[in-house]
Amino acid sequence: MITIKLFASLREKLAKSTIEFTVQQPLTVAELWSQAVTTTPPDAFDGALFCAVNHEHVDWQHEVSDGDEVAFFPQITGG
Amino acid sequence: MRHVELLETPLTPYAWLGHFESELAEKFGSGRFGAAAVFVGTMRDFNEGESVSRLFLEHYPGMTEKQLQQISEQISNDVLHTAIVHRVGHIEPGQAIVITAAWSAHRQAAFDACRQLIEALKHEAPFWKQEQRQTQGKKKAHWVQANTPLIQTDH
Repeated sequence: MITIKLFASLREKLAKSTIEFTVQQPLTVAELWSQAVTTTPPDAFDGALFCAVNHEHVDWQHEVSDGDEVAFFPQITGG
Repeated sequence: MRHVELLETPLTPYAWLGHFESELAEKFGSGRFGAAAVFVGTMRDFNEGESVSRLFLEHYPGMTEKQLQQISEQISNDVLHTAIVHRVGHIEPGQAIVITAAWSAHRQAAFDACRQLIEALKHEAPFWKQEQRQTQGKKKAHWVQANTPLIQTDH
């Protein structure tokens, strides 16, 4: 099982904050997005989207597997 | 010491700093540092030409703290102590959002570290701001799209 978390405007647009997704074999973050989150490509959203795996920033080709926590979110704006 | 703290309640920055500096003196002895540099970020009541009445700061529990700790640990060992304190949740205009602070023997290292902390935080730590804006008498929630550009810290 991979736990997927969505934040801020992305969470509101997709109307969900957490997704549990069962995987049989490793896949990239980009593949996880299209299979588990939405078929709308990430670059179709207003503003760039970013991803993290197990609390570390990663790119969309990073490979994930069972037990990982993956987050998708818009540009961060703290401080 | 590399101190990181998230606060859900209002932050009184200068009282917090006074208390923290007293703790540093108690734990590590007074007279160890000769410079303290502090940045305090405060909520404005305007943004992009519109009035802003309230701010909601969302974060990613677990990752936010981890990223802030990593940012703190990247600071040079010349800097004796650093602190990052960041508000989350609802914030009103005039309230402090963030403190970054650094203590060192001499001012150069403290200034550099204080700026490095806030610039790294703004681009690496997962926080998202949603403003309550007022336009022509109507209230609307607006997610801030991007921070102000990075200020270079390497010179």
